[in-house]
Amino acid sequence: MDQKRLAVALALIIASLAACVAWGAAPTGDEILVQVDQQGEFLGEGSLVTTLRFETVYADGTSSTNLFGALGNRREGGPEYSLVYFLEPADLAGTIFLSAKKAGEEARLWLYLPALGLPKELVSEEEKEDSFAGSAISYQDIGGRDLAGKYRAEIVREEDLTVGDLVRSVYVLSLTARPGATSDSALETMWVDKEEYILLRAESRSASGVLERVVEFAALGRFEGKLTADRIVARDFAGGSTTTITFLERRRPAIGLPDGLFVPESLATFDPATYGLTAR
Amino acid sequence: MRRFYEWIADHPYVVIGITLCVTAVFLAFIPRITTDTDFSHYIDPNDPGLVATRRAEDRYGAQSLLMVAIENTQGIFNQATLTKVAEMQAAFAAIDGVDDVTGPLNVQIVTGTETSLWVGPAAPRGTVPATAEEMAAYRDRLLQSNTARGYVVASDEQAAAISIRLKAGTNELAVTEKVASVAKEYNSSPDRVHIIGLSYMNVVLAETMGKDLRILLPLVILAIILVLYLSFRSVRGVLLPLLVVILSTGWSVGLMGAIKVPLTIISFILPVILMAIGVAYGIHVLNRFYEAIDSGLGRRTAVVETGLQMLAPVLMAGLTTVAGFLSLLNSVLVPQRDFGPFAAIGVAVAMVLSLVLIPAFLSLLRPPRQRAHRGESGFVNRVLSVFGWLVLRHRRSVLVVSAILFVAFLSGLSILRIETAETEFLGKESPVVQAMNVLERHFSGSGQLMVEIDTGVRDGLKEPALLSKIVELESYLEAKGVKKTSSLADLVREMNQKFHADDPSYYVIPEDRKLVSQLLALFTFSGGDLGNLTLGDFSAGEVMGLYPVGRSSDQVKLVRDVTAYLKAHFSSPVEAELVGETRISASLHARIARSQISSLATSIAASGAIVALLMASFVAGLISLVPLLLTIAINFGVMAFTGTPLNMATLMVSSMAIGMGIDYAIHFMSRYRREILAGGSAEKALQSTILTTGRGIAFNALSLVLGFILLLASSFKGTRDFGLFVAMTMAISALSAFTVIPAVLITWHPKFLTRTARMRRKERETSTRVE
Repeated sequence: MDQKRLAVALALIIASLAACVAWGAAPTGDEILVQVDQQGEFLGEGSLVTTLRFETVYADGTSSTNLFGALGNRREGGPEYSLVYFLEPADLAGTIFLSAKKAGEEARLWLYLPALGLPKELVSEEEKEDSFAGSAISYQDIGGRDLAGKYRAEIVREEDLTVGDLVRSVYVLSLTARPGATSDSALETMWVDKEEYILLRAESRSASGVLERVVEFAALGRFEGKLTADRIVARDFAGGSTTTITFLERRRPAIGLPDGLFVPESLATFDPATYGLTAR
Repeated sequence: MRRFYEWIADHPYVVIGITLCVTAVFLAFIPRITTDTDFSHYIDPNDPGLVATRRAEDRYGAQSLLMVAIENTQGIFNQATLTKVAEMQAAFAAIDGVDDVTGPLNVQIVTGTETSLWVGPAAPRGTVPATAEEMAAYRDRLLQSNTARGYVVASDEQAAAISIRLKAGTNELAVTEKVASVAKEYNSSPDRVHIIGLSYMNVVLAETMGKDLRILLPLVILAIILVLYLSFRSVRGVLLPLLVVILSTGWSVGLMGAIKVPLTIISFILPVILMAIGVAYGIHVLNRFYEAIDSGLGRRTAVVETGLQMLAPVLMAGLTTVAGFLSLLNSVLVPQRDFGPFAAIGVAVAMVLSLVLIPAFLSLLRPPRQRAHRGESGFVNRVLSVFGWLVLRHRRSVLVVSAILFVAFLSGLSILRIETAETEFLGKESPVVQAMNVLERHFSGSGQLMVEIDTGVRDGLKEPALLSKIVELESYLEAKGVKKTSSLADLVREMNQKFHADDPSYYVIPEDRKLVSQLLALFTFSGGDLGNLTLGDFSAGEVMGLYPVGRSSDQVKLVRDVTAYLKAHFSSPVEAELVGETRISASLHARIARSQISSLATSIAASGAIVALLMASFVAGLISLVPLLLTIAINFGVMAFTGTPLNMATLMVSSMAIGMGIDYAIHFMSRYRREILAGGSAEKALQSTILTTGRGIAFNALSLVLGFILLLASSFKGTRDFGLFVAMTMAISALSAFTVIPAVLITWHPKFLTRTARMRRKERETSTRVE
């Protein structure tokens, strides 16, 4: 996954905390997809601070753990900012990815390596659908996939899905790629929460029906009254790795985050402790 | 045994019925037979090199790639060639089971400036440059990239490579067949498209084996029919031995299917070989039967006498051949170890059926007219008589010339090469080898050398001191002829340079471990794939090198030198070990020479012992080996002087030559002794033997020479060499049986020739005295 996607993805994780839109009448499969997209693209207004842990077990049996602090900022009609700060492991601590997206423009991304003390803008010609931080999860898995543009959906059935301690009523959708659309998988099956239109589970299969990836919410919580993921597990059957994302903390800062925080020049002096971000 | 043969003569239908029932059982298993063309399965699973490589595969994934190379000697930087590349890349990516396709158009290139790092495909949007300026810029970008040059584009600009990564658990062969089908569509002048990879080699080998069998089997059957007809000039003379070899082949191959032993590139010729070898026993039995009929015996008596007289020589001949094949159990190569027992079983079945089934059929068939069977081939008799004359008149010269030939050819042993590479077996014209040659010509070579560095601790590979040692190792490898190396250290140096505005002075390992870690994070978060450069926790990784493949002995030296270097420069807790095909190949090479000596010694000892046992004479055993030793010496000498190396197939020639070649000596000595015991003089015994048994030997040798020479029609060079040299050794063994054996017997008159007669005389004298 390139840096732009990394930043957008993390912004979407933050956004998912506040994502909750009510839906009225019984929808069709395509309508549900539109709603899921809106959930994914919805960025909660204001500032948000999140702490997440990524635990990846690779195909070779080894594992790695990363702890991130993520700061997000968005105002109605204004730019969207996100800053991802590495808290752990120790040798990566202080590495920062910064994303800034102004309305109508492509997002720009900067990388700050503390060992060099230099920010660099990362320019990528095109977006890819690779893994997120070398994990089994991709940008699309986290949200913002333009599902409605890429797929047609049909409701296969309605059922109850157990997520952690909770049992949720879900629509099970079967997705097929729209002709001419650049889709990530030939076949997708999705489990969408009937009440809050949160994507609770997704299975990706190849054209021949081979299961390639499963992303599912393993634990649910509430943030500001909305249903959110507390833990997501992604299994990449093609690459053989499994990643567990745990949301350790979500909070609104007492004072909104200033835009001046989200500029490359301030990365060298960014102090995570100011925002309550500490290694654990 | 007389009662046994009388029973066969009286109950032929029972014998035939039992044979057909057993045959039906074995034939039922033939459809279950599978093929295994994977060269990595051909090595002892406990081989240390293979064990280390398997462990590395478990940790880092496949140690070989599927790659498609496009060769254009006028250069690949043109619209037409790159359009083909683009279309192929898209077609490969659309194949179910393909995870990732990287080629010269979409390979990710990182470019560093003062303020930014640019990451993107080498060609803008991954599409073919439209204008001459765009093409020139693209060319420069690609050739200046360390990650692209030498991997997706050749430095000489005459070839490009598309690397295809398959998804885990994918049916490799099925995907490879689809890749090959796409590649074939784009293989048109001036662009030659080649496929490289183990899975492709397996696909080609499986196809080629099938094609070879479809050609070789009918050919060998025709050859056998021809020889049998020349020998007997009768329908029964053709059909009975032919039936025996077809049944014995069916039993042996059916058994392979029953116990799930796959056909390999060695054993797929088993049916051809068994037919050529097995027919010999039938020829000798029928030959003797016709002799018995010629002498005026009735059908039943002729059947019984034939069985009794042929039991010992056929048993000896069969058992020595079985011993020769079983000696392959000493081989370090699994296909030879699998081939040996099943060939031995097939030979044993042919031997038994010749001694049992043929007499049963002969008991049913109307006796042939006297002498009508022989065809009265005066030419054959005249030629055979010449040998008799030669030995009687010039036996010392025969022995001296034989000794000179033995020494002269044996001297070639010192220059005889052993080549374990697949390419040596497959031959230059194989598409697999031609594809590998593209790598040799335009890239860094087709040989892959891999060193695993294991620190045993998380993030151990990020230590700058260790990375510097890896850089030194790469320099050492390059000094040893490895043309291109890649490692985590290279990646760290490259990212360091890119992050410092592409300043070449920063192409070094940073001293700060944190910076190393952060540069690697930058790489992975930029979409970079660490592949087998490191494990996920950076505790261990691989250094990879590509080199032009030369002789196996060069590989052995490279492995020896690198192993010594690793031992001297990497110490506990860091472990460094060579893994992969180069180490396996070198390990094989070293063990093959020992295995060859062991196989030869076993088959020589076993064959000599069998003859000694059955003829109750140690001297007889020794004499039977004389022509064999001459044959082996000539075989090795010819191989050495013609530059033919010992490879997977030709390694078996000597063991087989012993097992089969000794048959001639056995048949000749048995008959000669019988003639002597019957009271004949040496001269008379020789003439009689050479015109009766010698005739059988001649046609036996002819059938073997023809059968094996047909292997020249094989698509595999190894099989062709094997066929040629076995045919040659069979001819030499037969000539030796006609010349060296009688020369030895007449010159030294060994006691075993007359022992039985003396014993019988003694018994008579004793009984007379008692009376």
